[in-house]
Amino acid sequence: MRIARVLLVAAGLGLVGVGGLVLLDEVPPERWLGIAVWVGSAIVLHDGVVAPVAVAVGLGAARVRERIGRTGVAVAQAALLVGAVLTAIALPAIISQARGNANPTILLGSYGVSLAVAWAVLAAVAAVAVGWSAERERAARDHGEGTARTK
Amino acid sequence: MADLTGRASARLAARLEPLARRAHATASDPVKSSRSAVVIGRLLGAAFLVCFATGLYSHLLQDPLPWLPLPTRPAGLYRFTQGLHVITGIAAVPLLLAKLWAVFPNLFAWPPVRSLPHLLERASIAVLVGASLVEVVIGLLNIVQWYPFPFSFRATHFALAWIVIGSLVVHVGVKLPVIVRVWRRTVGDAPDAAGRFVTRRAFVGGVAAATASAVLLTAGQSVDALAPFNVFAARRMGTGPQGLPVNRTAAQAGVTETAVAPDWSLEVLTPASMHALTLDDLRRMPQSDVVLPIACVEGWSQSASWRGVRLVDLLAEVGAEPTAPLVFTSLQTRGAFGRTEMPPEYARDPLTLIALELNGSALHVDHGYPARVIAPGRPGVMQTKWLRSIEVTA
Repeated sequence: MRIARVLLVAAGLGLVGVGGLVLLDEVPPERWLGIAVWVGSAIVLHDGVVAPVAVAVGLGAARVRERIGRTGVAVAQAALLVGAVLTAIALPAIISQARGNANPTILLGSYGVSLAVAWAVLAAVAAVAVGWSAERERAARDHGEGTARTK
Repeated sequence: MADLTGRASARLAARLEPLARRAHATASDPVKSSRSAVVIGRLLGAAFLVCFATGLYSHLLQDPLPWLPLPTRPAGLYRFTQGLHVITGIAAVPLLLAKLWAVFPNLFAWPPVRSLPHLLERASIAVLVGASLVEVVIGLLNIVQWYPFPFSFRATHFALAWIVIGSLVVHVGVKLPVIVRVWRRTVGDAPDAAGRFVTRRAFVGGVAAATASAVLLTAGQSVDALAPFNVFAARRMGTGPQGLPVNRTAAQAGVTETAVAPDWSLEVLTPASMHALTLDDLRRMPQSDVVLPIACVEGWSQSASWRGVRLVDLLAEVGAEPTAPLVFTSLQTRGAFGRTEMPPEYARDPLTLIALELNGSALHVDHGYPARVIAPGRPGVMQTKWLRSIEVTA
């Protein structure tokens, strides 16, 4: 294991070194700062915005799970993740389309409408799951099993 | 003085420690276990390896190594590898977010640095995370041709790819004991405790659903069977002049006048001679029909029917034999691919044409009228349009 780890770390550093050489060789020095700023900003944006929002969503989900039930919350969370990822993919297309392109064969979709439809479908699925799950949870509580089920 | 800074840092640490511990506790969840990190990390690592290998192949095709012959068949090989590159890159978006979600509490580890190896480990993770995020983001931006970043896409994407893969290998080396522990655990051992923010099943299901829907709704720009579900991709099959998308139009390349000039002729230079072939000369030569895809570096691709003169026939006509790379020049005055080289193995392939027609009619000017190259297994940018000359070197 020790040898494997040393080899992996050495090989990895070698590959990083190749990347550094490519940077030196193919990217003009005046661009290096821009790349460093983008890499740094990516970390800050993720760790300072995206990840805390995800934690907040999780805290909210934990709070309502007792009332709504596991299944409903789970489906709603999954729908939120799908919507967020589709937004991340569609947003560049929407913005680039708005900026315009001299090539008439690129960005032909109705990305904004499609994204709205995707969110509507996801919201409907989540609403049905939450409604069904909350109803089941209420029925279980009415039968006096509530404390045993919700954990 | 040293005593003073020592005391100041001790005071700072005393302030920060409870904050870090609280942040760690707030972000923690039994679902964010080593097992989750390893399981998602395995998928993300596989996705990155696929992107790296296919990306390297794409760069190799654009900048061939003189001593390394490239495969001309299967004719759709590059269509496959570059389609896979972009599909896998898109699939990496949810996987990367999931992986970072699972390890986010570690950001608040206390003490922040325990030792020099620990410092280096955290530095390598910062490089891995930052470079991965930028790599995926600029990839997404490039396929929609939006360039808000202050550096060139091609060289930066290539350099960062090495840095991502290298720091990933370092990371695997550092975490090997954890990875091995998870891989070697006995089947059916005690599962992790129930999740706090999300159940394990919802986490896995959500990531799977996000990955599947991102792929399903974009892959139709390169996979025929998924074309009906192509909602979010930049390109759409069957669109554009003659039912085929274009990467660079005649107007963008600055050839709207030169390409349709009546006195156009194709110069063919060999070590021994120089020929000028008019469009009529080319049309009088034996014509061949081939079905070959246009496969763009941006991931979209589509198969099409081409008709024109086989390059081997044309070279035989002028008494040349391709033994070294051929040089093609275009009429285009803008863009990096006005001059391309073709390794001899492509020039010898009978599928390689100087195409004059596409899908049953003369090439549209956006597709390279009067004549263009179409060869098997090459990126679209190397399929030079608006040909001006072919140079055979010895």
